[in-house]
Amino acid sequence: MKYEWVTPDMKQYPKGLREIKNKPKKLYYVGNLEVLNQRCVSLVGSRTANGYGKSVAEQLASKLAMRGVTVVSGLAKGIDTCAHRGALKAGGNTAAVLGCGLDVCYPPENRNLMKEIAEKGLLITEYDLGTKAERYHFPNRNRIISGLSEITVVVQARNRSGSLITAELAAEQGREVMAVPGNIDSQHNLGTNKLIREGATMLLSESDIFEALGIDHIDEQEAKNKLSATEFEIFELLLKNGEMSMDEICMALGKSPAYVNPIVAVMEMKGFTFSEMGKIFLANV
Amino acid sequence: MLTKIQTATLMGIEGHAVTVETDLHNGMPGFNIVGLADTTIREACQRIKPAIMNCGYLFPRERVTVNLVPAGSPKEGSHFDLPIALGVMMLGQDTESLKHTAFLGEVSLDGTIHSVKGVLPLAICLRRAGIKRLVLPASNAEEASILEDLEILPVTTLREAVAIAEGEQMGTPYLRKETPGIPKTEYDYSQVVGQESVKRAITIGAAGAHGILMIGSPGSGKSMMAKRIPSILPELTYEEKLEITGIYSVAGLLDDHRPVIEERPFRSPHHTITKVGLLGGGARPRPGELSLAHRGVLFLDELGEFDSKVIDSLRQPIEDQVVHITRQMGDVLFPSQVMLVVAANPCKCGNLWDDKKVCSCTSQQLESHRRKLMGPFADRIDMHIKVNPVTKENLIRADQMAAGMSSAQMREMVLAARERQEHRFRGTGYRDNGSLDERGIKAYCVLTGAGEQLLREAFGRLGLTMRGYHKILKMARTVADLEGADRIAEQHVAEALMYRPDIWEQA
Repeated sequence: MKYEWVTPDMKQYPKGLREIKNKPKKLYYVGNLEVLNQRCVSLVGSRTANGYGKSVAEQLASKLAMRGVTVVSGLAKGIDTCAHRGALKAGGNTAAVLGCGLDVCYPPENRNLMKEIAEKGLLITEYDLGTKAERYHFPNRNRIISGLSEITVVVQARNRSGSLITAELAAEQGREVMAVPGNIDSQHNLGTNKLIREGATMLLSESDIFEALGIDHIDEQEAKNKLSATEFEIFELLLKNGEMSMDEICMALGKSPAYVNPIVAVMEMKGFTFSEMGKIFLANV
Repeated sequence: MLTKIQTATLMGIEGHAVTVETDLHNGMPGFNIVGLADTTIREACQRIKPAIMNCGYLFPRERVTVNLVPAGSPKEGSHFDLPIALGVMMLGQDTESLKHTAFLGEVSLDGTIHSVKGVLPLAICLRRAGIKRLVLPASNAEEASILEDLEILPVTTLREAVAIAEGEQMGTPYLRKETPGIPKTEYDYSQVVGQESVKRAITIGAAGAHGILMIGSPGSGKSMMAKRIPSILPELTYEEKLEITGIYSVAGLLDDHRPVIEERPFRSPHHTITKVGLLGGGARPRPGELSLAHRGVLFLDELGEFDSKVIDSLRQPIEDQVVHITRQMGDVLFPSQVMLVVAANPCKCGNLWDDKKVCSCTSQQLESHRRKLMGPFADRIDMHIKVNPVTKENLIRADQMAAGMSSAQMREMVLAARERQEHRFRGTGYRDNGSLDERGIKAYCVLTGAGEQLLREAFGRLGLTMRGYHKILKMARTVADLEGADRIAEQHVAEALMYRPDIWEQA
């Protein structure tokens, strides 16, 4: 297995981890370490989540990933799996922090997912190769998850879920903690609801996350990566002028509406623009 | 003693040949008309008698019975005056020579012949029935003369008509006035500056006969652009001219200045119009605005102001392209194949989209307006386009840039796209992309792989309904036709997506 490692004295060492106490002395990784240089949000929760938790996790992850946010989680069953999957589905970045060596797959049923993340995202751990997953590894691993992320979202947790530890660690590290509310007649949501009572931010939609991150327009760099040359030209026009009508865009580009129309439609599909009141806007949160 | 005179009657805009049989027999002087004649015809005897006498002829002092054959179908119209009068005056003479001559006209008490409505459809049916010569009021001659193989004999008095009937005089066939080419409308799209994207949308709409809903602030040029749509539609064919002129003739809208409809109709009824005014109706069914716009453009300005019930009643006739009016005497059909163009303000006061002005609508008004703009009627309109007012800066910029599209350029694109459709739909019952139903869409809207991929993504991401999905496909088909492509590619779908309806948030 081809892996690399990074230590705190190296430039590539994740910025978020530099700030925390008890930072890992050495991190092994497979994949693209760059994803941690994007905005990072972790989605965590129970391994035994119900349908509600899983679907929320997947949707949140997709929406975050679509906007260029890296979704960090722990590759465990349940919420973690859904979070990674959602991010991958949207074609975005995701990072999995393991509680074992890079050559160990835990849980085994996530073998394929692990492989996919290694190819498209990042697998990272502080444990040496061959280290088995032990119960006590996970709370330790959780400090890395929260440390890498600006915001930790607990999607669904029971009363004594391990993800509550992540939330606690995140709060200690001075990071924002959010929790998704759930109905009170289900044990599945007790932990998250309690977190809210204790002061975690209640998450009502993905826009709460974007607001907390201060994302109100798309990263220009990201737009450049995802858009074709003409699309990016339109993107920059909109960035400069604010909202524009179709005709203004056509005039600025010196092209016919027949040429510009499909391009703008595709940009809308990609989620970069939207049209309202007869004008084209850059997509805000 | 029996005479037979040929004439015709109207049912909706269809004419039906009628023979007027007149018989004289001994008895108390009297005058009876049988054969389901309406009041106007039954009153004819009161007009005919003095007219005949005032012209210096005698009125028989015996019992006159007039029968209108076929006796079972209802007849109406004042144009029966002349044939009935002649039937009486020709008594005792042989009318066999008049087998191929028909008479139409209203007679006044002094024997003058007045013009009547519906001459063209009557003439068409008479021609079909084998009539060679048509005697009619002089002021209707131009209208009927569009039929080239019918001899038109205009008359102004009862005397002239009698002279022709008796064979004393052959009458001078009316020759059609030379029309000075096609009267050019003064409306041209080159006069619309800075609205190229709306013009593009209109080109697509006209090419595929798609309905268009334009939403935009007051003063953004919605009506201005709508008025110019006929200038980019194909010219009327001879058959279409006949058909449309027939409708206008029945509605009594032809006169000396406009005896024949040469251009595609553009009808823009006011928003206070009633259901009958729009669809047609009345005791003697008259075509409504919808049928007057047949093969042209029906423009509804200020959709928000129309009565919802009136608007909803348009749905079926526009889809079926025909208006059914049921009367005791039978169904009347008016054709209604129109390109529907609708304009609406974004809200009742019109300022909702304006940065500088403040919208003064209450939330109830916004909600009710919203409901109209996305109600079942609007949902059946293929293209929803947004129109922005042209700002001063843009006006100056647009002026400096290359000239925008002119009607001639747009029409050229429309014609090419229509030709492709005609070729594709020959013998299928479909006429254009706008008229495709679900089955037609499946058969003719073939996508490339990438096009299908994009459409599938859009279906999920943009929350399209099934109807919306079909509309996109139809529009994409037209965009592809404009480009001369056989299969619908990605960029065609993408452009069509620009014209989907907004999902308006509840106010």
